[in-house]
Amino acid sequence: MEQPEVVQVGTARKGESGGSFWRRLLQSREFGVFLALVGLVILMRFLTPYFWKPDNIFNVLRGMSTIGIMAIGQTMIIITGGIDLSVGSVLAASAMITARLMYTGVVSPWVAVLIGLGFGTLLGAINGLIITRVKVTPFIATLGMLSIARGLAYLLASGLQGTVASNVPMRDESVNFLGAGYIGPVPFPVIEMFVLVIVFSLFLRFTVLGRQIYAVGSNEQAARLSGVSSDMVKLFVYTITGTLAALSGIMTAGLLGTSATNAGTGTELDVIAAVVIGGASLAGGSGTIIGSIIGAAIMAVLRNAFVLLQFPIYMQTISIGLVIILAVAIDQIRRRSS
Amino acid sequence: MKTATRLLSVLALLAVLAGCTTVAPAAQAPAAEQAAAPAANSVVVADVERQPAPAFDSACTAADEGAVVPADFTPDRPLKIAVLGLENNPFWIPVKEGALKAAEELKPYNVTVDWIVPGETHTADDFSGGMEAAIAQEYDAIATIAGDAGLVTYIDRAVDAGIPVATFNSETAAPNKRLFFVGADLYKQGEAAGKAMADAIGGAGKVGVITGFFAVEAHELRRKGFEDYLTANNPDIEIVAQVENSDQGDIAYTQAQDMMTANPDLAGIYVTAGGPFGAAAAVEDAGKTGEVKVISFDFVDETMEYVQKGVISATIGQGPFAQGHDPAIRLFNYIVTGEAPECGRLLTEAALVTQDNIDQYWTPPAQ
Amino acid sequence: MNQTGAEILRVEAVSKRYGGVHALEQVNFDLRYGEVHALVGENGAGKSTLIKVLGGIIPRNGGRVLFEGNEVDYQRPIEALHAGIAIIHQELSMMPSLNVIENMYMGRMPGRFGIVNWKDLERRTRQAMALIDLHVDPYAAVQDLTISQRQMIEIARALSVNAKLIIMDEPNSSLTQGESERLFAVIDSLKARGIAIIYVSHKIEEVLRISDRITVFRDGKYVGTVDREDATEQKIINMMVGRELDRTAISVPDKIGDVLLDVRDLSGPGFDKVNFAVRKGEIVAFSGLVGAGRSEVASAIFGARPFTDGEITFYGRPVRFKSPKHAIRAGIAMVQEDRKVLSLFMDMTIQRNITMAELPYMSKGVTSDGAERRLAQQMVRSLDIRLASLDDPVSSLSGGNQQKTVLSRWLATTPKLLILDEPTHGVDVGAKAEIYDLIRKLAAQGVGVMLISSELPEVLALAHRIVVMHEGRITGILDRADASEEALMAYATGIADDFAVPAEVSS
Repeated sequence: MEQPEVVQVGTARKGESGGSFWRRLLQSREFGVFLALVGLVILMRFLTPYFWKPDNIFNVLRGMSTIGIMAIGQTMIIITGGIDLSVGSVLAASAMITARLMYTGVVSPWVAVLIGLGFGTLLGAINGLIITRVKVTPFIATLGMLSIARGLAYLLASGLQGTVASNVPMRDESVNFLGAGYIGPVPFPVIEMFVLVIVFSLFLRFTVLGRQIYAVGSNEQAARLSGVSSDMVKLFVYTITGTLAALSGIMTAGLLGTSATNAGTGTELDVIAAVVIGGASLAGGSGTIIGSIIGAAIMAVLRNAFVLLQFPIYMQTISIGLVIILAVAIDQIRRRSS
Repeated sequence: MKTATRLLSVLALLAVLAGCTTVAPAAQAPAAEQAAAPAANSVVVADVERQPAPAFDSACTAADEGAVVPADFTPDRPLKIAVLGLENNPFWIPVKEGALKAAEELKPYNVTVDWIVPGETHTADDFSGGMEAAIAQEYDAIATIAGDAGLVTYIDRAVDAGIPVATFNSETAAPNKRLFFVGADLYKQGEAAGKAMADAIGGAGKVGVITGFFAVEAHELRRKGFEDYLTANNPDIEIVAQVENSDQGDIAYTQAQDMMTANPDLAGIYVTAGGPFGAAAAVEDAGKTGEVKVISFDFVDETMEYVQKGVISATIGQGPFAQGHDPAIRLFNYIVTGEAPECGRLLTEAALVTQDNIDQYWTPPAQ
Repeated sequence: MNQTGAEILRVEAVSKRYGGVHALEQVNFDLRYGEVHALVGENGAGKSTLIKVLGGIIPRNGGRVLFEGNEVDYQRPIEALHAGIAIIHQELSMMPSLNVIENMYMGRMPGRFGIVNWKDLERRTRQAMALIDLHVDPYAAVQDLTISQRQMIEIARALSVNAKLIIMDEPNSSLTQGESERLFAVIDSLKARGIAIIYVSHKIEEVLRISDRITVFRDGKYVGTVDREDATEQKIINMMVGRELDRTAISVPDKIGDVLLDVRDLSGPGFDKVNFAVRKGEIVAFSGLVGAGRSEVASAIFGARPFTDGEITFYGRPVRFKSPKHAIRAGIAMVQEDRKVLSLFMDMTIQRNITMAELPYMSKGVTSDGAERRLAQQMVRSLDIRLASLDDPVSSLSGGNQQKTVLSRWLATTPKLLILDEPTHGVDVGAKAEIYDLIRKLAAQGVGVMLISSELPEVLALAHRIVVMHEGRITGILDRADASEEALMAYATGIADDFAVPAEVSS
């Protein structure tokens, strides 16, 4: 009953009401967050001469690329009303199996990459199956996977004999290009991120499955009764998120030439924060990938500011929290006033 | 059903991988020559009169660090000593080796030393369980990591039950009844890092600090020690940024990039905890090897490779072998002779490894 | 406080705007102690808005409200409650997992130093319930009670705060016949205590039965007030709709064709050995009391619920749909009973709500904005859905138009069999007539219709045949010509039963 009771008078105006696109754009959550980002960028430009340099901009974009790529999947999951806490661990486990296979040389490097992507996909699919078949809530299922996948990363790094290793080297120029390469002045991870953002935004906007993702989050029962296989939809979003986490893991390992067991620890919270800042509701039904990328960018610019502006140390931790709350609060206030 | 088949094949793959694990070679242990000769002197453990524990905060460096030998007494009954350690990262490889070496040295004296890993983290959650189990199993002495104030109760409980306890690697700020501690003084390590940085950059310039977590006391001690040393001794060195990287290499990479962007004349980067190789990779990728000096801790492979390449100017050790080895031996000596170590905190050597002396500490892993 | 007859509330020229839209425009209303004053109007007429203004839930934009002679302007619901105005909302505002006492005293738990005296509260709860002759376990969780019992608890709660004015918003929308009678009895007893009641409803028959006066709103404006003695059903409807409405016209389409759906011995949770058939162009109504198993049977056919035994033949082929998706693909559509919970995507646009079921069949995986828009526009035209823009959220529509949106979603799939579960529930009179026309038109085009309805006049107005169910079993199948409200009631309550198994055979 939140909606005001609006009186409908007169004959129907069908469809296209002039200017509604722009009105909708201006009122959209993404636009509000975009304004916040623009404001932050302008402020940074004003405060330090180093911010608005191509090198720094590309560094910021590269720094957020893995979070951004995982946020694509997380956005779709959150739209369905779910959540995936396991992305950081899946990232580590997938990167570790890739590095391990490359290190031992049992398969060629690119086959190792495919197996790594497949492994992440499988872990994502297991999340999806536990949620849809066993009916464990997403929070619990992926919390379990958070631990299991991290354990698999340790296991893959150390082996069953219990020797200890936190890192496995990954040294293949062509594979590492995924995380460390440049095309001209542009870091390759940035290109990967933007390509995936475009592909998945179009997917969400222009495919039946994309529409059904929103439908499941908006009203799962109604979706099912309207012929949507909600289980298939959910299985899909968790699976693809596993794939994207695996790609992020291989990129991270490629950047440093080593796969770390602790890679991605805690990144699930950054990814979720990016999605929420970007306008998705944890209750499901709303959110866009563009919004989430803007959310990730806001956090990346802020982290860049910590160094460029020499933030006092404890203010760093506090400001990240403030930004998360402010972004959502400003939006709430904006909505109420409009 | 398809999923189940896929799952099985992955498990099979895991098993294969586990089989071909390569063991990273450990840091070279200081030689501890001890003849395995059976001891002549017999002692009745129950009759030994034992000294009180030295003052909790008294500190010194043991001359026989890493090389302490068992006292030449054979107890009248078999003894069991528990060493509660961790294996969550390669730092522990030499620690475990130290403990195994102690086991070998004590075997002739009818002593068993068990290396026990009670969990994944050095919190009281994991270690309290390990302590309780060791007490219940009637170990004659316990050496444990004490990374959490929550462990005080358990240490005191063991000592009250007549089981002497030594701590190693990390210990609680709150006093407890442990006999002694073997490990590094983290604050002093930070100071050593400060000195190493000052030496590397010639006493002046801008440096950035990447710490693991502001919330982890060990990291903070290293950060403060560094900062205080530079403030006191090298006023021309300016700390231009301090950030936390959650022990992650990729975050350190971005932060190092940002530091170099904001300070084109950056002279050094100090990494207090995990992921120094990320900062080193950023320096290398920026073509600033030798221009921006990196100082870090511990002797893991990734770090050592960058030391060898000259990207990391120095990395500081903390005597991990001694941390694993000495507590068990000194606990045995205490049981059979009653003599306690001269001070409560036996601080291990903060070895400084550079491109020049790396061969003494590390050999590259064979691929 | 027996001042029965004196004025307790006066509303003068109150307005409420949302942006440029007038939800209320200069409306008037007054109420006396011990009076039941009904407020009626189509959905979107402004009834709920007035209630919210009176209850301090939303601020008004103009006009005066006098309560017990003093001008008031409550800013928060608690102020209105303290003054003696209690609202019983349509969707009851209770905490389902908490018990009766906790719900009664929610937000005003008395206790010394924060310690709750449960014995005392229990006694007071029982006292309040006794006032309306309600006897439930004070420690029962509210979710385990019936809707009717919960409503009674809300009324008892209102009494326990000494409410002088109780506003009931569509109190009868989810009640069974017996429960309604109970509610009317309680309302009578409240009147006797001098409590004033604003009774908001769609259902004209019940309004005529219990209210002393009736005020009609239309499109946010005050239309008029009539005394019960002067009111007739037709008169009220005309005031609400603003036009003459012929509700009694029943035209019978007569092209009834081959058997479309044949159900044999269907059993499952909530129904047992159900046999019936639906032919092309035939409207088969399912009558019965709430809980008779009609929705369960329909859902089993639609693949939304399981069945354990029996056979469904659709188009001559045995079918058993694993999920609604498969049923839809075969040509079956089902309009669900509770549109908010089971049908609508509230935060999605009207267009997307309309095209949801047909979307996968319009294209191979990729959607086309143009085609989707054309389909939505076509549906909006043919059902006369009144909207500002197809891109507005469906929540911006009135109840009747929301229901038409749901119908259009299913008509867009051009179904061969259309299952309608209470399609006019909570729909205003105008939209109702339009929906009736639509159902007749579809049948005339050869669509088989299964109409589940609890409203006997609706059943009698539309159905060719009527299947009556009682406690999961079919008790009678009647041609419309043989049916009357009395006969249907007899079958629905199990008094009449054409399919009863003789006692000696069953044992």
